Amino acid sequence: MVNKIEISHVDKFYGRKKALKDVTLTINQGMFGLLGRNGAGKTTLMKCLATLHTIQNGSIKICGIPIENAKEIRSITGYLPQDFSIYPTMTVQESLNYLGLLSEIENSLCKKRIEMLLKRVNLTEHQNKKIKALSGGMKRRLGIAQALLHNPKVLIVDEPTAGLDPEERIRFRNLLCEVAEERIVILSTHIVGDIEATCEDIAIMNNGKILWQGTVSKLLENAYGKVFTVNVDKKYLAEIKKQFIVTGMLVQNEYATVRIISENQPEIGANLTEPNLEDAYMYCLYSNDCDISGGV
Amino acid sequence: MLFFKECKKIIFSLIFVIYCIVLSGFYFTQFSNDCQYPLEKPHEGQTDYGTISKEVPEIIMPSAIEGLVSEYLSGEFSAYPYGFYKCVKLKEKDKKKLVEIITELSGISAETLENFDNYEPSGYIMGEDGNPVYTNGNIPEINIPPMLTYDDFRELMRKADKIIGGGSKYSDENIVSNFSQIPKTYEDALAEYEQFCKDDKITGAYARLFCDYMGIDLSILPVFVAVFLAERDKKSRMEQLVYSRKISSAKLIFTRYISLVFTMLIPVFITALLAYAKVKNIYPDNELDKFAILKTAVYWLIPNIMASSAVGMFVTEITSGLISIFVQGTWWFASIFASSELTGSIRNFTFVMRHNSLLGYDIFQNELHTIVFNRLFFTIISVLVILLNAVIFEMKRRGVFNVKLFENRSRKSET
Amino acid sequence: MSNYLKIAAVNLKHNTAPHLLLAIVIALLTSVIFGISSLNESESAQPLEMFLSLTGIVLLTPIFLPEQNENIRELVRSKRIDYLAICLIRLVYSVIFLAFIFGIFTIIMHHCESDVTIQHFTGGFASGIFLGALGFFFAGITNNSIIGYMVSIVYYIGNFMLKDNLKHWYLFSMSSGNFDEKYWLLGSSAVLFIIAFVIIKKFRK
Repeated sequence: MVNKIEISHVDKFYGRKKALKDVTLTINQGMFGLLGRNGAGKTTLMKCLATLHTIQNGSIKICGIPIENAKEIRSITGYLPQDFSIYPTMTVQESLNYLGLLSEIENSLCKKRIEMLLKRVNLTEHQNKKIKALSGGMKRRLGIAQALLHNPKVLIVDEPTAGLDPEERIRFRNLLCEVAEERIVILSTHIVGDIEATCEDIAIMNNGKILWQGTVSKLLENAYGKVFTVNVDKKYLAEIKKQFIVTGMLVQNEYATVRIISENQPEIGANLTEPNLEDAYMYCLYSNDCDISGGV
Repeated sequence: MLFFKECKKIIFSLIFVIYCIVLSGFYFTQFSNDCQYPLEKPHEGQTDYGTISKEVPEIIMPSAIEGLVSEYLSGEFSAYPYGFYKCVKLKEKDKKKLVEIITELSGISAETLENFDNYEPSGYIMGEDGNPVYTNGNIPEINIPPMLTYDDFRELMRKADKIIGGGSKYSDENIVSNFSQIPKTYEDALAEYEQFCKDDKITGAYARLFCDYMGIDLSILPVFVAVFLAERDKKSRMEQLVYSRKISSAKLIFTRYISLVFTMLIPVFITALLAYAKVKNIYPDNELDKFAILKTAVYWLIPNIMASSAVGMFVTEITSGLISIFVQGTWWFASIFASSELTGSIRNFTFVMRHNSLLGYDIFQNELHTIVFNRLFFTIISVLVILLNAVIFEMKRRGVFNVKLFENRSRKSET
Repeated sequence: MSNYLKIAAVNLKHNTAPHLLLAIVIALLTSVIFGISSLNESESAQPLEMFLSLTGIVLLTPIFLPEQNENIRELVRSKRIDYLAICLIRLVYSVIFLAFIFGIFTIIMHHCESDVTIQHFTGGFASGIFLGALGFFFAGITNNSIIGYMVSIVYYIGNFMLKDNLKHWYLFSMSSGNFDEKYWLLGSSAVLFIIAFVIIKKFRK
């Protein structure tokens, strides 16, 4: 069986509103990042992959299995929703046992996997705690454990790092990277840093469409020669914001150092600089005529 | 403004739509259905003007004592301890106590009662020709001791009621209506009708009937609306957003509460106007009080809405919506079935006030003091509950009152 | 099969237990508030259809409640076993509990020398399950159990007021000696259950 996800020409409507427009995408083994602002359609696409939504047009195949075959798809995919929560009165152990039952995992195997996963996500000592007593980070780790319980070929995680503190966030990313060695992991985020640290392949979504797909280095390459820094008096900031896409700024006393994106060398004494992923992402949106006047 | 925003939120919620449908459903099937024809003026020569219960010792004493002896001999007492029929059978110990009371009341000795074996109940039995025939029954002869005063009699009956377990025919609430029904005369009936037209200006009577019916619904429906909205706020995590806003807790909670009560009153006032139109329609020539129904609705129904919304908001705040519904449901149930009387049974703490009659202006006027106290009581209590709600909300906002309370408990139980 | 039993056991412990407890409390209250001894045939119908039927609301309305939180529902729906199968499991055992409550209550009434027959059991159960089916249906299609409770409780109250104007769907018919309504109630309950499942399957994602 082929270890990849093939999405071709998918449309999805909510009533009249088109949430996905002609999405075509191929995802291979390893970490795959889905980047886009809030409301771009990332969550919708992920829910379609997890068989929580049905698609109207096009086709999706996960490891060769068509998405309409929900039961089989569900047994090879693990899903961690954006806001993970589970029956608050259960303990960590009980909830994993129950979700194992729902995934129809054989009993003795399930026990072994729970033990192994709890160790891996560092929850062994909290296994008798009630869900409602867990911290945000612990809950998220339990979320990843439950998604991996049936050893899925595909792991779908929606905005996994939102609301975590920096330390938890780094730990969580590392965990995902380890997991991705053996399977496809699809990660959606609007936090560019998450992608930078974990993914090689990415896709950028906007307004229900795939704007761009490729590797991180390719995205950076595209932005090369388009990012500048400039030192200006603070009072000109507003003017600069009006003229250029500003991706960063550092204000010191009367002066400000501003990172801007521009197709051509601006005439205000700007220096060309090495783009980072954030710049590259903004440039991608900009060069595809997306409305980014609101800034980052 | 927050108030209008809240009102808008309520009006466009599914639960409010259901609330309006249910309320108007009840209005049309109950009140509106009762207002098809005008109340007829009594005229001389009618065979029956209805009965009226009057506390006449000479009538009550013999018939109540007879009833008690008869029930004792049958071995079964019918009672309505919680508003529902209950057939009570006494234990030997209680029987003995009751025999003493019977002897004091009727002069029938314990031996006579013990050995009396051809008891027959009074009532209708099937006659030989197949038609029901009334029989007086057969019980030992009653000789009320001449020394027995009416007060003694009532005291003994009170004791008997206690032995039976309350809610019997002999209780303070029931004894008069059960054993002293006397037929109304033409003059009585006419006087009552005059009162209906003049003192009540007709609309006053219909206002009471309107509030009687609507009060039943408005003592329970608001809790659903309140709980629905409180839960939705919780679910959409409004709290987290709301917590950081500048507005004071008291202002926020009270605004929510007032908008809740206000919006729920809108359909009440609309039905009140419909009710007036209906009354005007069947009494086109009489002098009516245009605002009677609205006025009565204000003081009668607002406390009901206030109290049940307050329960909904407060209990949901500290526990869950489900528990609120259970609490309000129990209160409603207890209040509705606590009294078997549909008029003249309003007490200081009667939550659902009943007056299911177009007549009885006197009864209602006599209760007026109680009613004023009653309605003020529920209004004030509701405001206090909401105040407490605001305090708890403020504590949550500061992180003092937290679900941690429960978490600690569960952690302890595990160790 | 054993998997389904296990799922039922977990659900019973974490999701149904408090509701079941409340149903039992209502059954106990019924026996205290109404007398249940020495009642004749029509009097015996009262506690069963007028009060014990409330256990139907308590048991069947909250069947969708555990997953009313959308996050939990999505998680459960992403698993191999169909989400509605879990709801069906809950429905089945809740109906069995309801039958048990009515059964035991009827037997106790019989022991207290009330004039009860199998009809009383069926009649009371029919009223209970219909109230529950209303709650289940509205809670299910609106995804809000509060609405479920509201509709079923309002219908219950309506029965005191409208009485046999409710025709085939009058809950308290047995107290006045009619039994035909009960078949309608049972049939309608089945219809409500099925429609609720179909609607949720088709329209609510």
